[in-house]
Amino acid sequence: MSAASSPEIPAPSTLRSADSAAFAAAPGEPIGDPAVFPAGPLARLAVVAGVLVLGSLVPYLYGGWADYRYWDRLDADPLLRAATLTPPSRAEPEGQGPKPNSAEDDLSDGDVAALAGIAAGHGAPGLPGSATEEDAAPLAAEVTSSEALVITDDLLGKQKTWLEGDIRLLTPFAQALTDLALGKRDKVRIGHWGDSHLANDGLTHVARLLLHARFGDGGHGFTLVQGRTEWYAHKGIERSVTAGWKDFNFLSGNARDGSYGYGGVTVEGGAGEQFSLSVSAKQPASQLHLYYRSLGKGSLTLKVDGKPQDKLEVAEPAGTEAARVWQVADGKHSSTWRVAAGRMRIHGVAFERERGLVYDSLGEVGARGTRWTQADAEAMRQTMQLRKPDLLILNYGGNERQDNMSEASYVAKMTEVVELFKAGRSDVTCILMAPSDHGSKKGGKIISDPAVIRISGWQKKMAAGVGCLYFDTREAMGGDGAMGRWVRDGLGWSDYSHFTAQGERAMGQIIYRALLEGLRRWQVEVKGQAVGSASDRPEGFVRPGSDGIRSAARVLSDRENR
Amino acid sequence: MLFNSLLYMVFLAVVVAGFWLLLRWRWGRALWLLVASCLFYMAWDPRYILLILGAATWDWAMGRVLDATPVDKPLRRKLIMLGSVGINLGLLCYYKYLGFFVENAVAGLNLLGLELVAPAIKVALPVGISFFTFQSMAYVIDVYRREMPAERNLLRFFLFATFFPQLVAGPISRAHILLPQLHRTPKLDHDDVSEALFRIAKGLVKKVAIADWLALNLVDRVFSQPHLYSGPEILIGLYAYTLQIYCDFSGYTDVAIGSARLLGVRLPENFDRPYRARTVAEFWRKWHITLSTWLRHYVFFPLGGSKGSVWMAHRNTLITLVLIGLWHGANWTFVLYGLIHGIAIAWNRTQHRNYPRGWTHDALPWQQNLWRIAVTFHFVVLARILFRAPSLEAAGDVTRAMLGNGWGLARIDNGTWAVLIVGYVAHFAPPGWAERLHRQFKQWPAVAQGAALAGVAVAMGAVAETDAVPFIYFQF
Repeated sequence: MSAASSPEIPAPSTLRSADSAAFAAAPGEPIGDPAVFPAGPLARLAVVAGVLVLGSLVPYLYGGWADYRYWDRLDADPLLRAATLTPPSRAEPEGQGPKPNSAEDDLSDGDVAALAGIAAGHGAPGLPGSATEEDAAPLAAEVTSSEALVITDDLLGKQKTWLEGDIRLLTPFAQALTDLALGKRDKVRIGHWGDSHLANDGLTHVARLLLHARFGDGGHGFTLVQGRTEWYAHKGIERSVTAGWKDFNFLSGNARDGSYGYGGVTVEGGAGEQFSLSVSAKQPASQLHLYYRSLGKGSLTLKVDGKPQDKLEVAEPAGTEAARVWQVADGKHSSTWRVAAGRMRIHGVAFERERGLVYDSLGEVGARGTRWTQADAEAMRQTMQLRKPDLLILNYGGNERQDNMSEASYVAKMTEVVELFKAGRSDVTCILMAPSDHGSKKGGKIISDPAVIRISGWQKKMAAGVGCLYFDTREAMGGDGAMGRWVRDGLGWSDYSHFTAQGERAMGQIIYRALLEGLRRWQVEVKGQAVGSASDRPEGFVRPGSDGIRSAARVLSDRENR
Repeated sequence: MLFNSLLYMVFLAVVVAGFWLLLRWRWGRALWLLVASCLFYMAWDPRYILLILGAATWDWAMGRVLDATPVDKPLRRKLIMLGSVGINLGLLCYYKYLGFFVENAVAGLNLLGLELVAPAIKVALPVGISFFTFQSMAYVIDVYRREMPAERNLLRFFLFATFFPQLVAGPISRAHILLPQLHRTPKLDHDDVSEALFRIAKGLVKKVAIADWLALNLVDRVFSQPHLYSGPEILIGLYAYTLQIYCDFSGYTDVAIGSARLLGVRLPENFDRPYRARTVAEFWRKWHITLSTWLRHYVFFPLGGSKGSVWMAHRNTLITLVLIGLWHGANWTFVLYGLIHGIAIAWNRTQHRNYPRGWTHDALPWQQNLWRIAVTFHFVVLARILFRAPSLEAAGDVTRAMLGNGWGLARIDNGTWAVLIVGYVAHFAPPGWAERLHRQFKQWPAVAQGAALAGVAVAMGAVAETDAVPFIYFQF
């Protein structure tokens, strides 16, 4: 600030003259100079504006320049709103700031509902709200009862897009969930493979949290030692890796033995190489599952919270996929893994707990499902036998849309990939989850990329043939041109491909509801009765309505926001 | 109605045409502008126009009463002035700060052992309330201080309070600047037309090609998910946000100034290449000039300014800067933002206390000014974390990620690099370059000007990432 002086109030005697000097036109309001119509300047303005309008019209008149249109339409709604004295329908008027950008912005039920095609207030589990840590404890106990199997209309809301296909295909997964909820089984695992949409564990994190609240927290699930790109992340897990690891991934197919592990990216390193993975108290773990491939001989040391654990001496024959589990106290842990001798091929670590649902997020930037054909079938079979996921969600196609593949070629490759993932198991459910909508500009408007529609159609057609259910992601997002609307509403990035954090929340909820609706349909159509009907309820059972689910969502939201 | 929307361009064209057609009918043109201004504001929410007009009526009446109250009744005059200022501050507190105050009051009481639950207070913030209340308050205080006479005509005062180019995000035009222009017969010459079109085009380019690009391609992502970015990438994100917010707000101001110029009104400038400042104090003389001038005039000086002891000067600076921070929003991030700026200014003053009166940085060799610019700039950049983050916790997340997320710049794409470089080069380039371009544009024939602007419009279409994005300062 510059040097200041106190405000000087002019003395009354000087005020009048000061007034007259400073305000020649006021307060007596002399008209001032006579009004001279500025014909010349206005004519100039008209010429400039005319040329400007004509020039700006070129992209609108010439289709080849459609991408150069800045304004797609004259949106007269604001003026109509003013003229008709209509308050804005949204809670906050236009221009209240960059809503999409705030990390703490919670999507309201209404926002999610509108985008997911569900009317607000219909019981879709809204994420906003707050809950205390104390709320979480009774909830965790509560949701492992059979109440978890009661799927209310309120919960599903008006989402219109569900799993498609013969619901009997859901039996392995639905039965596993049922057994888990009834205490007959300890774990149910979901493996969700995909591309950049999953690479940061955004939408899978949300789906995981929601499913944990309902079926019990089985832990983080599988995480890679390191991703193929720096975008790879797993929410709630911190990692550090030494530089000497060599990575192999199914996209480049650079492993001679075709062993890429459960997540498709694996690392190999010699003595001295190490990596660390830490989980927080908010999302604890009590089991550390290491997945690796035997290279003949080698050993690995593990320290948990600084304390040495049993050393792993590789005993399996070379070329065998293997796993080893360490039990620790349930809670926050940091783990450091170090190759003590020989070479080790490490696929990843799963952080789990004694009981509950495990949701493995297995995304990689640029991933194409068809590239899994580069994996060795036997290695995949062994890997799947070790991990034993109950549900496979194959969520590819977003990158293949750029590959100009024929339908026959795509279907043939993906059929092979599905077989690879099923690995001959009959006790697994498979879902082909179509790529999310990708927008492309056409005529100044954002439409769905035709390639996404094409690939989604191929997946839908092939699903039954490979024994999978199908989920139309683009349709669930709102159908044609959905991503344009998601971007506008702060749920998608301006590349019209990827989700913002808020968009990931919306997608996570869509997946959650789709799985639950599938479970309910399975209860009705395969088991003959929805759980939670009067005859199925124990005495004193209180049917959880939307409030129960909302409280779960609040706990989740709170945990997520910390 | 956003300045960067097609609707606004059509609206402006109609308003300008009607205004000049009504030139010879004094009240007709004033009424035309008033109706247009009200419609412009009502496009956000028609209900709040009553708020502005109601507050304006009160301030106008208080101005008249003040004018009629003899100067030898200082207490009465003061009470009248405080009554007007109190109403304006009351509106501001209710709509903007009530939730914040209640939440913190409850938190404070709970520290004393009470177990209170803060009620959920959700009051929609009327767009531009921080701007129009400050403008009205300044008017009444000026009348009270007898720095200007009260406006007699209510219609004209309404126009002063609602003049659409500066209604929702400034520049905050004090009454002695705007009211006389509304009295006078407007004039328009060729220079005005060229100047106005140049400013509007410049503002839209800043907004669409730089601010929106950076927001959508880097800044929003970094602040949304800082854990995904390396330390250097987050730092680049902060540089990007620093450029974004300047281009966003100064772009808005350019369109406002250009629009007003087409109506024969000259609004005050709000920016003077702020990132070239050599001290934080100088930064505030170059950034949002009308707000810092307002607070200097109505808060800092009445508190005593720099007179008195060093500690009193520091106290006054801190109060003023905390208020500047709080003006931006009801959040501890803004309080802290203002506070650290205040501390920096106070520290600056301490450093300079032995310099002779009248000394300026211009006396220093350019090398010394260069590093001062660099230090000041980085202070501003880092402080922006608090400005952009929605909470102290989120600011902490960004800071921790910046310091601990390792290295690498892989996630900054070429387009973002290009926009950053072009934006900062334009900002730091010698002022003469832009002025030369400006002069040349004014000399071009009308057809060439139209063609150039059409080229800009088409280029904007090429780089635009999405539909019109709201201006950041609309939320304040």
